[in-house]
Amino acid sequence: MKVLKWLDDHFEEIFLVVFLVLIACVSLAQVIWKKAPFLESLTWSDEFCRFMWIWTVFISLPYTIRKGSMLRVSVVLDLMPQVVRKVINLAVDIVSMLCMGLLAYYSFTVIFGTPTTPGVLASGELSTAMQWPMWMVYSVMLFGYALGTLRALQMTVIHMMHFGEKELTTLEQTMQDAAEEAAMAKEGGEE
Amino acid sequence: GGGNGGNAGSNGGNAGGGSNAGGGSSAAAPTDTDKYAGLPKVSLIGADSTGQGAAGQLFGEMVRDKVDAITGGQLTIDYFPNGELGADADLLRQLQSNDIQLVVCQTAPVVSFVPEVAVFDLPMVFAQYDAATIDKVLNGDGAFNQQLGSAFNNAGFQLLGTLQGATYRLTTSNTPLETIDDFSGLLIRTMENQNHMAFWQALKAQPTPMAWNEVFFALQSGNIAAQENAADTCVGANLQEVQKYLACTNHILYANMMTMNKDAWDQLDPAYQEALQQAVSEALAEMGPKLTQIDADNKKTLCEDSGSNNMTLIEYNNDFYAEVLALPAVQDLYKNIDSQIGGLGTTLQNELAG
Amino acid sequence: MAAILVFVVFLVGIVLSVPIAISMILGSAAPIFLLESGGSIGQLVNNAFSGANSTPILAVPLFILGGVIMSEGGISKKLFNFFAYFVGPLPGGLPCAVILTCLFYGAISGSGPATTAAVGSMCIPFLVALGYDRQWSAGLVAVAGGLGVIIPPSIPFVLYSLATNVSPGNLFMAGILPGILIGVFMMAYAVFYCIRKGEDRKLINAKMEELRAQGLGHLFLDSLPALLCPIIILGGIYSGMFTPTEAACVSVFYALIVSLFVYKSITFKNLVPFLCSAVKTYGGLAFVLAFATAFGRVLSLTRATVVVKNFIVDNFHTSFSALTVLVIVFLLLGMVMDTGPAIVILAPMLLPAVEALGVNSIHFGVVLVCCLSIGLATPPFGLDLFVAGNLAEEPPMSVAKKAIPFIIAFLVALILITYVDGISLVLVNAFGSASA
Ligand code: NA
Ligand code: NA
Repeated sequence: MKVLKWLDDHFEEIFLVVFLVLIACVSLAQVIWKKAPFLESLTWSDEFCRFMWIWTVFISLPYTIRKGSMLRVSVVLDLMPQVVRKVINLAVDIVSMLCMGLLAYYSFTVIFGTPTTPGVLASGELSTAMQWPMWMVYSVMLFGYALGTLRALQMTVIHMMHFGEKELTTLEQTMQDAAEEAAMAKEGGEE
Repeated sequence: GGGNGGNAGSNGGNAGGGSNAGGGSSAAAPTDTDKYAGLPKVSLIGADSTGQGAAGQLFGEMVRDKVDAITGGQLTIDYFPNGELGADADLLRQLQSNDIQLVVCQTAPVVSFVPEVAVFDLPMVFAQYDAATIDKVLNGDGAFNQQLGSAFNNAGFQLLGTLQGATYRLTTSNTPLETIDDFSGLLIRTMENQNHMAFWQALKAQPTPMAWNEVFFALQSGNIAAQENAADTCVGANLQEVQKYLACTNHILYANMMTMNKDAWDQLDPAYQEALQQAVSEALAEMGPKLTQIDADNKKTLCEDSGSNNMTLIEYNNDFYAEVLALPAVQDLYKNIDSQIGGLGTTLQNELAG
Repeated sequence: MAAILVFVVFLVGIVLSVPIAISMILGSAAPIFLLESGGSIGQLVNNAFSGANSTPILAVPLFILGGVIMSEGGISKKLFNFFAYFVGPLPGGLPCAVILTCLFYGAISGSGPATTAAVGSMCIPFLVALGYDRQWSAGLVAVAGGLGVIIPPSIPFVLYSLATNVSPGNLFMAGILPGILIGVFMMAYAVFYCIRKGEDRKLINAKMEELRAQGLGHLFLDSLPALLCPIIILGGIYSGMFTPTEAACVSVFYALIVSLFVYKSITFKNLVPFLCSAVKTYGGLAFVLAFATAFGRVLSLTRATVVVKNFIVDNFHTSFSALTVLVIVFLLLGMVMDTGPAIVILAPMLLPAVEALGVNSIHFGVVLVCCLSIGLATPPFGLDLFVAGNLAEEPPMSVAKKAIPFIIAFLVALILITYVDGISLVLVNAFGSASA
């Protein structure tokens, strides 16, 4: 149970952190190899970092859905009474789930094709620099949308189960985040 | 009003006026529009990302206008230039899924989808020939064009025509590139294309792929010393302000290919197919010589009309090209490319040589 | 028709506080399902993928990571000490040193709230200890933190460059003078305030003595690694050593080395929380940036960009009136919407229109970023304000009140920047690329 709880909190985060480390380190290698006169510039590094970012983009979807941290403009929402806010949030969960599901389904067709059009898998397209099969790069997109669908479903259930409880407005939430940022900065300022 | 995506196949059974007669591209009388009046209207989405005023964009827009005129507005191309629908690879992917029906782009990006197009990566293979000779091979009905066409079909594309005019990608540089040795160590921005990079490495240069919108800055600051592109691109980016020499390396033909989605093509009424083919042929015939002129004008802009920024033009005779082609590394590259594309390179060289 | 449907669905989504990413998906899918126009869902999927597939965008996560490390690494304090040494003795000198620190720190950090947090955590207690008003000090830092995104390097400029293909090097150059101008106007107000209200010179002089006791040589050596940071990053970009993406990468490792080994302000143990914090910061942005490409292409396919362009050109006729209206819209938007999504959605939609009216694309980028960055310090929704309020342990609204004169100083500078395009363009014309 503890493991599940931990995975629920950190599953996507692990991937995102690993991708970030890879992006930072490989870009550094690219800069060094490019500037050092005795080294041949790396040909694969740029493409590799781009692919890590592509994966970041699609894994960030389930991550932000689960954390409730998708960017939104919530001025109007904050003016509403709590019940209306809760209802809107539930509706947003369901709409997000449908959108993710839709994109998951169509990513599937983009990768594996439809009866009339071949997909990326069938086209055998290879990446220009590393010669990776492009369907492999694409498949993380499918994974991201699919996990996003599940995460949105999970949020729907969570929001329903806690329907009666008090909830922070986005403004209050943001102020809490700001407090955390401030606290971290204070800590860092001390030597 | 908007472009209706993927709606190319609406010709139903109404093939009444679609005779296949009268092949070739003889001038069509405007009164011919009658034969299209009975056909359902079809709108195709066309796109390019070749840049404002570049040859590919002029080509695409000319075909759009001609098709409209020939069919009296029955077959139209809703055209999106300037990369509005994406860069070349994006466009080709959308072309493959029939979300876009018509794309104009240079040859290099097509290689990921049609490997045989790597034949255009054979360095300097066209450098010594004139426009008419090249045009006969690329747009005629010889073995090369047939093989290339079926390679396109295998990828789900229909090749409509290739525009050139014996214009080439050139090299701009801050150091004079008179001899092969001058290329040694040259830090040059290239496209992200293995074959192109292999060619520059064969010349002992240091090819570096880089996003195009960073190139001017990088050249200005000396972060890179050279880049290679067609003359119109160089003028468009004002490269004469940051580069001293314009070397006619002619290493890659500056060719723009017009490609359709094969399903969209097959579903077009034969009369429409013929009208489209006619529009392409006419545009090729009109634009080829014009391109040669534009290319000469662009070189003049870069080397004579830019005042203190004038670049020095470096031209080569055929000995130089022959010398480059004889380099063992270049010969290896030729063999390597040719083996990957089933000998299409040999076919090309034979047909060019006549 | 299809164009209007896209806008209506998207805006209704935004107003109902549907997440921006989901609103974009709904807006793009609406014409496809309802009017069979605007392409196909498969095309959306492909275009979102190609929106993610970009090298320049890598500058965003890297600058954010670099900013996290720097704000924890105590680099801002060293900068402040250096400036305080020189301008501290003058009237209003220490508040000015804070603004200068924001200007300089802005040169290494890519984001506004990070600048506010880094500078504020150290400067607000410092100013308060020297007798300055707590809320006023917080307001000062909240507004000055916005300078972090105008002075290059700047994540918003990277995003504008991605959305419009304007060269990031040119944008980075164009941001310098407007950033300095805003800084000068704010300093002018700070000096005026300090002279009118009076300062506790005794306390301040004692503090200055403390700084001077260290000796200029020691102080200079101590702040050198921090001072070198912007020089390496900006110098690297302007000399062409680095592309902005490479500079972002260098900033990460430079900050890491300085903080780990020179200032010893962080340890290897801190790295995982830093990475998580960076991921959290750009997590919400990543998909919006990618899908903005797909959304933009639906706008093209439905000819919505043409609709917007015609609307603006037909109704405003001159660049003066168009810019005036747009600046007001941007200021209002900046109050409620995050900078990143606002830029990637608005810039490609509006640029063709204002270019048709003769506005330079680089200048437009500077105006857009300046407007949105004020939004960070304005109520009801200003992240800089919240951060500064928290640092000062004061309610954000009281801080906002004291921030108003600074915002006015910012706005006066903004008016000049908007209507005198030379302020942004003079450096670009002298040193930048003429083409893009
Ligand atoms: Na190197
Ligand atoms: Na900055």
